[in-house]
Amino acid sequence: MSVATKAGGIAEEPLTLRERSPSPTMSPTQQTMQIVCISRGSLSRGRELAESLARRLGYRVLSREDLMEAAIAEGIQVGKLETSMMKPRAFTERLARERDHYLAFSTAYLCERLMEGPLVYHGRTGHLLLRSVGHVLRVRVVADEEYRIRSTMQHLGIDREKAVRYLSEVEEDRRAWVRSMYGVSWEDASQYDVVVNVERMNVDNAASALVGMAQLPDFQITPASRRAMEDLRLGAMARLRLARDERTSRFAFSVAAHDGAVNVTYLPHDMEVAGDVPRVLEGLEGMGQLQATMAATTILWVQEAFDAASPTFREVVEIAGKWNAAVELVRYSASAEEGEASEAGTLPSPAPTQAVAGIEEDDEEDVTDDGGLKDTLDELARVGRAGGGRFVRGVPSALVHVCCGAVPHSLVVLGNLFLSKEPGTKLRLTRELQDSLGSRMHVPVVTAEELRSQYLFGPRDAFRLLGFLAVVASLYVAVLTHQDAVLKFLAGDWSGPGRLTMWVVAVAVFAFAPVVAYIYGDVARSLMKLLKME
Amino acid sequence: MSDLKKKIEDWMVRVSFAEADAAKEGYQLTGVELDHKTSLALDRVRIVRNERASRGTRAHEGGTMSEGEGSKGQADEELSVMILDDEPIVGKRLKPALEKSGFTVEVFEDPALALKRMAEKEFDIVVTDLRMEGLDGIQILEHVMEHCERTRVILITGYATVEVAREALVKGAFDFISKPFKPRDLQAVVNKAALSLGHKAIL
Repeated sequence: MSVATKAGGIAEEPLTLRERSPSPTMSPTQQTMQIVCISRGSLSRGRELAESLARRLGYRVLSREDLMEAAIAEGIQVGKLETSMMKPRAFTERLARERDHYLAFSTAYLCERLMEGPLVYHGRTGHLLLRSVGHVLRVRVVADEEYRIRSTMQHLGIDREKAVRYLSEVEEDRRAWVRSMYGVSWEDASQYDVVVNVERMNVDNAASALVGMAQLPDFQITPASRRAMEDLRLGAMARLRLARDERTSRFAFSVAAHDGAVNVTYLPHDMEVAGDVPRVLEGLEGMGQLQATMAATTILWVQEAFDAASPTFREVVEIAGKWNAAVELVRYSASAEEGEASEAGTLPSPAPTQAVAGIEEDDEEDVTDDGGLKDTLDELARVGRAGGGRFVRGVPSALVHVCCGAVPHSLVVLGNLFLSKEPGTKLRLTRELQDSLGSRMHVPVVTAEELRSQYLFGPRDAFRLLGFLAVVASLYVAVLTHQDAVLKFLAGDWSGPGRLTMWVVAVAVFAFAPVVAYIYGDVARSLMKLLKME
Repeated sequence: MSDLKKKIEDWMVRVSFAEADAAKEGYQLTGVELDHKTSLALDRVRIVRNERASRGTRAHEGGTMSEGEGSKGQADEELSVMILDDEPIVGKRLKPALEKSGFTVEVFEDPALALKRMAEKEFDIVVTDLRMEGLDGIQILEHVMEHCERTRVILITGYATVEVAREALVKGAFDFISKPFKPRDLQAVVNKAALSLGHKAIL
């Protein structure tokens, strides 16, 4: 299968990735490992620009389509990943593993092709796959909207209205893809070294200008960027092995390599897989040292009915994002009757299924109400924060027993619980549970309201902090710059009847001190919240 | 089941609103847009023909479900579905699942024969693979849209990109489904398409 187009010829290359170090017999040209990544929109002439640039530089061309073909040959469900951007509810925990697999494969594939010689890559986000490599020239190509509309009409044979709709929807899907895959904005100009508008510049002239840029010292490989690329490749190869091996394919890992040492981080609820990691990665070419560590930060969210569209979900995810934490869900249903037996269980990690001609077996139809646990876990997987799910039914002590297991947590959030109870009883039972969990787990246990007030720092908090800070500063400045007048006032040395003076001073001091203390306290509290959040 | 019934009725109301919105914007409602509005398990219903809908009336008010309304209907009351895929195993696996939902299913492996059959019979729903030898799924879609705009076309593919999926949607496809999928997933999409035509769901 052709995967790379040389300037003036097609190179037949194997699609399989080989786990090997860069060959010591590479030619000087190959050793340069230069790369230009062109990020293109739909019908924005990015392909033309890439081919013209590659011809001028004598580099090979690699396109996103080549990469996708290779990923499909690897067995990755690229189509499902792509279309999940259009159907947000279609994203599942299992698809999150496909995403990890795809990212590891794409990174390794790109590094492999790059080690074979200099490249011009054109697609959506090649530069984001090679984020840690310093010498990549990152180009964004844009085209005139009118040109793109006309090209779409001609290319797809549709009318103008449909072409406009097509372009707008495809752009939105691509934005969603970049957000989901890399957590950044596709259009953020800081992601690129240069933006080329082919409306104002001929494609060949733009390519000529980019030749000059590509030859600047800033975009030449350095020992540091070579090392970064080798580490990136090693990390991707390690992640790929974990994704390919059936012992580890179901689990979420974060893998990084530094100077040949590979660090694999797994989630606390996946601790049973820790022993398999060294076995799976044994003998990985280029790996000097291996460390498998458990992620330290997990937030435990306990609730009776979960809803991924709720404000609490957004808030928990916001904090998890700031702390780089996973979120473990526990669905707790209190016993309906006294003396009812307690039960607890774990949602299984998504297991791979066999498909014949792209059709899988229907699994057992599960129509039981799981209180939104699975959907919320899928949504957490989509934002990269899933830390497993469990359910507990029974008395509160059963929940406390489950929560105090071997998995360490940094924060416990108690959402809506005891839903069938009266508001007063609900509040009392939640407080009792909070005390019980706090004393056993020795970590902060907060309700959803407390989470908002104690941990989240929004624009309103920022305005409040700035406002009160200004008031405190003004008071200090006023007192310090008018010391004589203040002392005179406190000494009662001002015009007025003696008794009245005494009372005015007393009232002023009585009111001033608590007001300043309140304002000062608020500033300190807001600052603490900001620190806690960050 | 009564909860599901309520959800489906609620969904039908939403469809009519969403459809009106889409019409205002000048395009036809697709299954993707419906996904934003419901997570309903539509694979658990059976579909029967609604005569008003068959005559071309988009009668959602007449398309509400009727619980326990008869068992399996007569063949002439059933909606017709064409499955077109050049891999024989696909039709073999999907046909029983759709028949369970109350559809009459015809399976084709050759796009040319499928087009010939379409000239003889108007199908309510066409499920076609995207990548086939000879004619591809987009060409089938264009043909159907040209000859029978009312027919719902669902594309199945293992190689979908957002560009291809969006192209299918702007050209009039009702929805697409990416491989690998379970027969139940297709059942849900086909049922959704039938309901959007105004036919009835039976629990």
